[in-house]
Amino acid sequence: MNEIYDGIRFHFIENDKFNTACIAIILRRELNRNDVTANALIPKILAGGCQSYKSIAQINKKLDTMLGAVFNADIVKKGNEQLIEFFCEVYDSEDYVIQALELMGEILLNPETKDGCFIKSKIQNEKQKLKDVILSRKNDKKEYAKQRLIEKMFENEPFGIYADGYIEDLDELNEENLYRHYQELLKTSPIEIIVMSKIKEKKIREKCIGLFNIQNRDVKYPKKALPKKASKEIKTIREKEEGLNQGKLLIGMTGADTNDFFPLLVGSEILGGSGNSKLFMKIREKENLCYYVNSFIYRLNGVICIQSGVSEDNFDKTAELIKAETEALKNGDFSDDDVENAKKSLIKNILSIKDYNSGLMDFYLMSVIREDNEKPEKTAKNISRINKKDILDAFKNVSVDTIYMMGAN
Amino acid sequence: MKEKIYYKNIEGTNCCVIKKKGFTEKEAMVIFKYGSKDTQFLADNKVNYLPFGTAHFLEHKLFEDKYINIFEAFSRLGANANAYTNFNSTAYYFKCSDGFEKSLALLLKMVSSAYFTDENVEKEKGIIKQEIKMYEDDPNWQGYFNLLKCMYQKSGVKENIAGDESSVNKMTPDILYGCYNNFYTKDNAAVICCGDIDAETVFESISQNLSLSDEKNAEIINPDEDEAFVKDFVKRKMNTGQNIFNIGFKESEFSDTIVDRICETKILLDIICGKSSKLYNKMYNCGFIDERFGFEYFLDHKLGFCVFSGSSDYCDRVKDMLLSEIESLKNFGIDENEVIRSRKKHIGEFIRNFNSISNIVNNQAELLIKGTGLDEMLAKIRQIDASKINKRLNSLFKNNLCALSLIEKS
Repeated sequence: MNEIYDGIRFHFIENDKFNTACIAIILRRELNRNDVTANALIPKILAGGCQSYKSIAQINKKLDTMLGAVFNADIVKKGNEQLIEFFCEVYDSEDYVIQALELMGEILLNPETKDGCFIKSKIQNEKQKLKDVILSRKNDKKEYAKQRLIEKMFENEPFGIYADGYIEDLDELNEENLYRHYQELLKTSPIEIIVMSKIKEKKIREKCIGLFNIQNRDVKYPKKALPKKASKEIKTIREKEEGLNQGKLLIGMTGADTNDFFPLLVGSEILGGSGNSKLFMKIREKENLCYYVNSFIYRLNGVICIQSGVSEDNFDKTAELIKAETEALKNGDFSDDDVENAKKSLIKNILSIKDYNSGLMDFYLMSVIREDNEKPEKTAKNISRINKKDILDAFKNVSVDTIYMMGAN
Repeated sequence: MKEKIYYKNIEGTNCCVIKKKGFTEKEAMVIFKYGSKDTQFLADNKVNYLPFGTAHFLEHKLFEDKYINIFEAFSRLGANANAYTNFNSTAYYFKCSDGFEKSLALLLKMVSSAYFTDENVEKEKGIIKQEIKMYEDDPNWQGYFNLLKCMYQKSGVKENIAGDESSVNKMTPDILYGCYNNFYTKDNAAVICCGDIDAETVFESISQNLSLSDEKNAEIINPDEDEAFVKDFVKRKMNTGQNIFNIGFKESEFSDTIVDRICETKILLDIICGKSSKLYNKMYNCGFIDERFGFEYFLDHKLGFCVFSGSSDYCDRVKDMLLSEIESLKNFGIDENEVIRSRKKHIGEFIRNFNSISNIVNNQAELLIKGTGLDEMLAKIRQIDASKINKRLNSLFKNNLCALSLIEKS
C-alpha cells in the first residue's frame, strides 16, 4: 500500500502540532563487513554537493532561504541494519516542503560527477574525514566502551559491526568504485520515505512519485535480527586505554525473548532506569561508587546492558553489586509500588514522544523496521498491562553474557 | 509566534508560563542566578572566597530532605526530576504528563528548604569526584576549560563547573547553608512553566509554595578582567584520535544591552563561519575542519566570550584563516545580503525551537535570569541590520586577541 515503486515506500504522518515538517529518506542495508565503509562514505559524499548545488555552502544557502531549514545526511545503526539517512526539517508550508523534497531528491539522485565517477578531490577529502571520525571514536569514552562491549558480544555478527566503517577499508575505495557502489545502493536498497507534515498527503505523495522514480530496481530487504541466546559462561574482558581517569564497567545480558520487550523494559527501568532505581540507590547513593549507573535495552537484538563509570579499584566490587541487584530483580525482590512507579515513568516518556517531532520520526522508523506499526499510545498501553509476574517470567532466562572493563592499567 | 507567554512578578521572583496547547508533556523549572563562576562575594564589607564547584555541590544536595526521598516522591507523581549547574545559574526542573500541580508544589517546596548534614555532604564527595573524573577523560571539555584559563585570570568562569578533587574535599554543610541563604533568594530566582497548563493556577501555586528569603546579605563579585589574555596558547597531550582545538575571543565592552549582544553575536558568528560561509567551505575543502567544527558563545552582563572548536591536525591554519577572515570583514564590511540571509535562518531556528518544550524552558530560563525573554529576543532578531552586525564585529573582535587551546593526540 505504501509502495510507490519497487521497494520504495512512502509513509505519511499527518501532524499539525509542530511549526516544522520533517522528511527522512532512508536507504536500508544489512550490516555487512564487506561494504560497511563504502556505505558510510556515501551520505557524506552526497551531502557535499550535487549538480544544482555544488558545495556545502550552496546547499546551506538554499536551506537558509527556506526559512532556515536544517538538513543532514548520516549513518544510523538499528539492530542489524546500517541506515543511510537523509533528514530535513523545514517550515511546514506547502511551498517549503516541496522545495525540501526537491533538494533532497537532487542530493540523492543527481550527485556531482566527472567522466562517470565522483569527483576525485572530494572523495579524498571525505575519506580523510571518515578516517578522522573513526579515530575519534575513543574521544567519548562512555560511548566507546559501549561500542566495544557490543563489538565483543556480537563478534562475527552484523550487530557487532561498526556502522561508521573501518580505516583499513579506505585505501581501496576511490571515486570510481564508490560511484558504482552508489548506483548499486540505489538499485538494491529498500528506501523508506517518511514525511510528517500538516499538508495534504496526496500532494506530497505525488511529488515523491515524481521525484523518486528509480528504474531497474532489484531490492533486497535486510534479514531481521534474532534474539541472542543466553551464553553458558560469562566472558570477562579487560581492556587498557592509556591515561584513562575513570574506569568504565559494562555488563551485557542475553537470553531474553524479544517478544517480552515490555516486561523487560519495565524490569530494566526498576533496575537502572532512573534516580530511584535499584542500581542508582545501591551503587551511587549507598556505596558512593559512581556518578552514573544505568541500564538500557537494545530492543531489536534483545540485549540488556548496564553501564557505569567507576574507579578501577572498584571494578570487581561494583560488578558483584550489579550482579546481586540483577539477581534480586530476578528473584522478585521488588514491590508492586516499584512496578507502578517504573510504569508511570515509562508511560510518561513514551507519550512525551508525541511532543517531539524528531522523537516521533524515530519511533515511526523503528516501527517500520520491526514491521509492527506500533504507535506511542499502543506502547503505553502495553506497558500499563505489565505486572510483577510478567517481569519475573521475562527475566527468567536472562543472564550475564559479558563483563567489559576499560581501565588505564 | 502563536504561543502566548504570560509573565508575573510574584513577591520579587520573575515567573512565566508558556502555553503549548495540545502538548502532553509539561515542564517546570526553578532557576537561580548563581553558578560556577560565582566564587567570590561581598558580605559584611569583606570579600569571601568559595571553594570551586560550590554551586554544583549545592545542586546535588538540594535533592536531600530530612523526611523523604525526593527522587522517589517525584517518581510516585509520575515526574522525572533533574538539575544542572552552568557558569551563571543553577536550575531544578521536572517533566511530567499527569499530576503537574502536585509535582510543581513539590519542586517549589524542595527549593524553598535545605537540609545538609556532615554525613550527607561527606557521602556526596565520592559521587562528585567520580563526576569530575568522567570529565577529565573528555578531551573537548578539557580543551574548553584550558582555553578559559588562558583567557581569564580572576573570573571563576575558568574553573571546572564541578570544581576539582581538593575543592570538593573542602565542602562543609556550613558553606552550603551560607550559599543557599545568600543566593537562593527571591530576586535571584525565576520560575518557568511550559505545557498545556493554566497560567493563573501556576502563579497561584507559586505564591503558595515558593518560600525564599528576601534578605540581601551578600553580593556576588564579578571581578574586572584585563583586556589582555593570560596566555595565548596552551597544549596538553591526551589519549584522543585526533588533535582538538578551541580558539577563544573575549569581550571587553559591555555597553550594549544583553539581548542585543546575544542576537547580534548569533548572526555575526554564523556569517563568519556558518555552513553557508566562504570560510567554512574553504576550511572544509582544504581538509582543515570537518562537520564537527562549531562555535558557541557565553554572554553575561559583565562577561562574554566566543569559542570556535573542532577536530583538526591543522589548528594553526584554522586560527590564521579565522583571523584573516575577521580582518577582511572588518576592512570591507559585512554585506547586507548576508545579514538578511542569516536573519531569516535565525528566525526559522527560533520557530523550530518552539516545537520543543525542553528547548522553550531552557532558553527562556537562561534569558529570564538575564532580564530578558524569548519574545523580546525574536523582536530584536527581526530588527537586526548590517550596521548593527558591523558594529558588533568591531566590538567583539576589537583587538584581534585570541587564544588557542590544543589537545594533542598522544
